[in-house]
Amino acid sequence: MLFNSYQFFIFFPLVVFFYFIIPYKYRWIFLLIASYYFYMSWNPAYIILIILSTLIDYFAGIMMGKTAEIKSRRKYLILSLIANLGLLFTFKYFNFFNDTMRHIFTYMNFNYQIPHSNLLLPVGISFYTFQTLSYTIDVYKGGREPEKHLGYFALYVSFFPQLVAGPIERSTRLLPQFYEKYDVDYDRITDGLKLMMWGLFKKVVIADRVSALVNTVYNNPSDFTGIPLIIATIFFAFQIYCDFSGYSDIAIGGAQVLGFKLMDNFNRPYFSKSIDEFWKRWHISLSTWFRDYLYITLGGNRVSIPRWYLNLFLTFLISGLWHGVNWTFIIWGALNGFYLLFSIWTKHIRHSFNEIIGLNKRPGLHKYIKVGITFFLTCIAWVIFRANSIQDAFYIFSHIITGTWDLILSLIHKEWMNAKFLLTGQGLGMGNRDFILSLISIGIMEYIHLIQRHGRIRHMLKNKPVLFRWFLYFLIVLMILFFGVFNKSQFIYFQF
Amino acid sequence: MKENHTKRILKKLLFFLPILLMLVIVNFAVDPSNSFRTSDFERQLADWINNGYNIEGIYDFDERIFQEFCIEKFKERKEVIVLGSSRGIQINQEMFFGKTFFNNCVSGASLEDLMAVYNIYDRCNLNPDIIILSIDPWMFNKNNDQTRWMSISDEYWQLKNKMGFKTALFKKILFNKTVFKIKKYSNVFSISHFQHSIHILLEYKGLEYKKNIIKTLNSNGETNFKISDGRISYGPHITKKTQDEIKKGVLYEIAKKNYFGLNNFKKFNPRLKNDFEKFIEYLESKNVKVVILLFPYHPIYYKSIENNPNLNLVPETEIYLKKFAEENSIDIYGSYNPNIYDLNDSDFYDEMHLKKENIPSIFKD
Repeated sequence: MLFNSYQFFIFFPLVVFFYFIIPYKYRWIFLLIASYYFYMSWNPAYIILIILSTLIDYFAGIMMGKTAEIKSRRKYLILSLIANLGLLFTFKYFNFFNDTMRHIFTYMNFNYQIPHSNLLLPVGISFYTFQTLSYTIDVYKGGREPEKHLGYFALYVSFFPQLVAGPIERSTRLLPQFYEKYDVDYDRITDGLKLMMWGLFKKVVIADRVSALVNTVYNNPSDFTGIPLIIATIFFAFQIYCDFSGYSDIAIGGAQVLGFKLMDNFNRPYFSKSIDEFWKRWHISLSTWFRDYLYITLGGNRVSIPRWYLNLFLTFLISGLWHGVNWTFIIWGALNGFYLLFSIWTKHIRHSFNEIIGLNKRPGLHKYIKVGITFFLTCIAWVIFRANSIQDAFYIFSHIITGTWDLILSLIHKEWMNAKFLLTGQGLGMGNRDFILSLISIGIMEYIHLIQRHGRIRHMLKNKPVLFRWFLYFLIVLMILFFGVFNKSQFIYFQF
Repeated sequence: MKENHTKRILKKLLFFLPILLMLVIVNFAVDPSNSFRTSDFERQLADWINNGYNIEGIYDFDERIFQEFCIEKFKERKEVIVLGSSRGIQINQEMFFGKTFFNNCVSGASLEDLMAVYNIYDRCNLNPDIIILSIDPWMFNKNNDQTRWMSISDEYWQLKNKMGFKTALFKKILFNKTVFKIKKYSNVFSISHFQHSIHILLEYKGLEYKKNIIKTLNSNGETNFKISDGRISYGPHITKKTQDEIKKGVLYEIAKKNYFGLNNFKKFNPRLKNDFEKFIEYLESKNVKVVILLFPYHPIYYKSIENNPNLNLVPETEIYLKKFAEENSIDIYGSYNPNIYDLNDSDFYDEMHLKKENIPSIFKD
């Protein structure tokens, strides 16, 4: 069930109600059943995969805990890696690699017999496999003791608020929380509900609204040129942010209502002043996972410089592959890797340049320029991420430039009809009202983000007059009610 | 302490009660999907139709119950009827000159609808000579989200019983009707209903829209008309759309990934396939001539269906139906593919509905 569905509006309050009236020692059982029910609402059969992953990793953890010998521990780690990555490969990557091999074999005039798989992609598989892998890797490295309580471990793997789209939690953070006792706490629960409301606002008022324009343009890019392509790209930047961070907020808020603290997953990423900073603010749980379990394992920056560069690039490349089974995602990952490397290579040159033009003496202006450039570079990468194919991405890049130039020429020559066509194409899939609403709601969100640089907004609100606070709460709820898009739209990151 | 916290939370949540009340009251008062009325409205509409009147200003009503009231009160047996979805709802009397005719198509029809509406004819001993079945691909998709048939679910289950399916009739009917009622009444909390209600209130500046439905002998005007032969005559807001507007609308539906009834169409549902085949068998046992009709999609929409690997069962549905028709000597016309008839943008009202004047072209083979 989706977080923005009626089923969830019924499911969640019921879970909260029964959770707090059940005696402490049985709560984990109830939460586990609720989490399995939540997952089975997508596809009942695939609960088997979660249970399989749970049992294998629980067993692997226990067996690693019984020996200090690295060789023995390694074989259980390998078992966990094979099981989880094997699941991921079978359900998510098999067809991609199979089709690639088929193209290669066909190109070389060889026969290729392996058929296409019809297995459906289980929702959340990329998330829960990474979550359980982090556990077994931590146990192997000695970062934590194996979890002996199978029920708590099963709950760690399947905890419903973050099961299908993160945040990807570490066992050292989440597992101990299942041992704690949580009571009804006014501040904690109301804060959690406010966060859920904010997440819902981002999802249904912003993300689902702008998706109409984004999909219209990106699904038929050849019908557009210039400004519509730019608008669609910028809108996609906000769509994916609001969709994913909205989901994370609902997940974190929902867990908080129950008493559990999940990690922050986004931290105003479009205010980043560099790509490096962007990746510390965007999908934090995934980027830290890749940092800790791939980048550092490869040697991180404690190797030769060429090897360090390779480690960085590979980490981003694989991160791109995690996001989806299309060459566009791989290229997107590679591009981000390249951005990071380029920023390392040009650090001194840029610093010297800023000194020469005096930008270092104007930190405010310098900051805005850096934020602008980072957003621009991120949007370039989003073109590749969102495009349905590499050819579409190339079309979009080339026609952003040529189309915008054509528009400028049309305006100069007062060719208004042509200019109008260049601005809107065959129609952007969105009426004027929705367009203005999108801009206003994005503006509201970014204004709140601007205020958040001084601290958490929920804490700041506590110091405001009660009327002002309630006016804001009512405003958000009424905006959701009047302007929310409620037509069964999935969250973008569910496809991962 | 714990109780104080709980009481405080509940007290604060009560502050949102006015919003919830507003939602409920607006949904109940405007009732855009007519979920809270009695069937008297449909009964009156059926009376007008059976007395030879057309209905002007038609909007949402329970089309299934309307069909039931219409058929039960027919003054004469109909020789030709059409069963299907809104894609067939423009087939009209003029196409069957010399024969008595009625169009029983209902919006978003599922296979259960076709069977349920037919059963009303059967139990009233009004079996027609010819039934045109407008079959849509979602009729074989168990995930098509169409539940409106449940308002006449008893008809469906009675036909299943007659067709030889052993089924706990009473329990099934009760279950379906209960589910249907829950879904209907839950509309009072529906946010999308609320938004639609606000839109109606703003457009009609109040609840006056409900008084705009009248019986008439006119067959066209500024709104949609329900004609006495059962078809719909669309108003200019649909028929006078420009090609640009139509194309925009189609692209918008594709952008929303709104393939009506086709989400999660992963396989032919065996129960629905069996229902269909047994239904045809039953019709033939009643000496009814069956004609299968496939309505094409808009070219851009169909192209996006063809390019979507999740929708490959749409062309496969057509292949199955043509094969079935050939094996059982049933006349079959039309195709989901508009390119077979050289249909283009200007031949459609939207992504799914062929213009009335182009319907004869799909009968030509």
